[in-house]
Amino acid sequence: MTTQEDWDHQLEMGNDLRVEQRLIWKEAVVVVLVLIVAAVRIFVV
Amino acid sequence: MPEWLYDIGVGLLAACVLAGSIPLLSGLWQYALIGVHGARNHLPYTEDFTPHTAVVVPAWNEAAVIGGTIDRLTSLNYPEESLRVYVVDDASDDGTPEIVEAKAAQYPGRVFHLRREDGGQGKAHTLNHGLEIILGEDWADAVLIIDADVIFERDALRRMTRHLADPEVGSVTAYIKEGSYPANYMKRFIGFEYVTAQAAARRSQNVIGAMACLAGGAQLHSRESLVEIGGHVDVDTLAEDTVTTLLTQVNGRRAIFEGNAVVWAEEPGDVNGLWKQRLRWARGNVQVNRRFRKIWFRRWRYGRLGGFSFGLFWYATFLMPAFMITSSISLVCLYLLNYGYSLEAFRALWMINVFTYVVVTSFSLMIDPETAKKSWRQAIFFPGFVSLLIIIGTCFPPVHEQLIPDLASHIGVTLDETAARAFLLFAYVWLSFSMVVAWLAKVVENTRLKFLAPVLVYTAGFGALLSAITLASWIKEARGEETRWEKTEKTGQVAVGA
Repeated sequence: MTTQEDWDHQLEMGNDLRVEQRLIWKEAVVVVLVLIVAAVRIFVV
Repeated sequence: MPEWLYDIGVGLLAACVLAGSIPLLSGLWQYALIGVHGARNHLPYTEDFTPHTAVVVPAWNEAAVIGGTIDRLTSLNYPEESLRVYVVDDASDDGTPEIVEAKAAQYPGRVFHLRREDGGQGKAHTLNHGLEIILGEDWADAVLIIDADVIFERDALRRMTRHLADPEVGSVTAYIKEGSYPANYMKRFIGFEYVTAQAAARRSQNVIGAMACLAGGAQLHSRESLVEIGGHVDVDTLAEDTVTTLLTQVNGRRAIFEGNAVVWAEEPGDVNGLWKQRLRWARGNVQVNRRFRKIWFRRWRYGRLGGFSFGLFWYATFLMPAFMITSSISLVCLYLLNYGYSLEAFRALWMINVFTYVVVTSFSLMIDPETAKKSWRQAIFFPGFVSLLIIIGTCFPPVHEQLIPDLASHIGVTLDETAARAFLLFAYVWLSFSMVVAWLAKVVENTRLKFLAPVLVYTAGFGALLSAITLASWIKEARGEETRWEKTEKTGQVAVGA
């Protein structure tokens, strides 16, 4: 079970906030993937 | 035909084909907003907040799961004195009352057995029985409505209640995940679908400030908010959770999705089980759409709930079968009028499909890596095998133009122009025909050919299956068929370590 200290840490230091902030980088990866697909479609095929 | 009439006809048909891209563009917009959630979410407005919370568990013949659910609730990382569990037993006759009584004795003052002797009216009536008693007392500051089979991760409730520290928030929902072990193909499809429909879509709804639906299995309400909407849930529709969600927001309070609060549930394991569950949801949505018809696209009156994005998200899902059928019919008509234009419109539509597929699949797998490990095959085949071939062909035309004819010639089949056009027409109607194939999966499952059901689902795609169910719900609602609550069978398969 998560201890009170762990919980306070998660809450105050924002583990969950970091999880959400990571979504920005994941979206950037998705944009790169889309650009690769577009490039393949336009320039390779 | 006069030239001007021809031009108008071709233009209108091309527009109808491209209308089929509205759900795709809506999906792309939703996924674009997920990144924004990283910078703009409700977490900065939360604090460690543990109000007196009454958990309402509606239970009708839940002997297989109810004991485990109660044990789990009483062991949550939440102050014991601030949590009470009320099991509303809807005249169960399978041992549920005995199990709940035993748990009430095991956890005195924490677990309560509320018995309805005249049951069978459905979940909403059962919930209202519990809500009347809970709100009749002063103890509860918040009410958590759950399903009898769900298993909360230990911190899930605390992650939810922290949002209620903001008085503007009326309700909070968690991320429901499919947790059956072992999980067959259907459960894995649902597992991936929940990433797209919850972990992804509800984050974007957080960003636009309007929530379509709190998960029925994990919805937390502040006492004030619940009282404001009448102190009970709706009994006139099959989607009482959606009605509660919309009413909460119509009353000016926010509904929040907390993606880090994870709740595990057991979902249907076959096509017929899914059909029964989703038909109820879809018919509920038709009823909700009728009831709340005045909120859509009226931002000046209903704020974000009446905003363009929320209306787009709602109708892109609600009208999905109509978009698919319109696209198919228009493509065939366009083919008859002008083959070249039909091909261009088809390519444009499926190119948008390619990008949507790349975005939705890759982002969803990254949002929830745990589910990705289990459901990556279902993620890849989510659009269905045939659509996947069209997607590949759209992205890499040589596959269709050279590879397939070459392969055919190797086995002695020559694909001439007529065959190529027949394939093209098949691709044109596939968007609609995929729903028929998905429906066939339901049909064959009740026969000796049930082994074909997974093959048909993989061929048509899980999305086509959901669209077929939505279409069936329209037909049933148009016919005014009787609405009755049909419970999804639970067997206690959920296995959770955390």
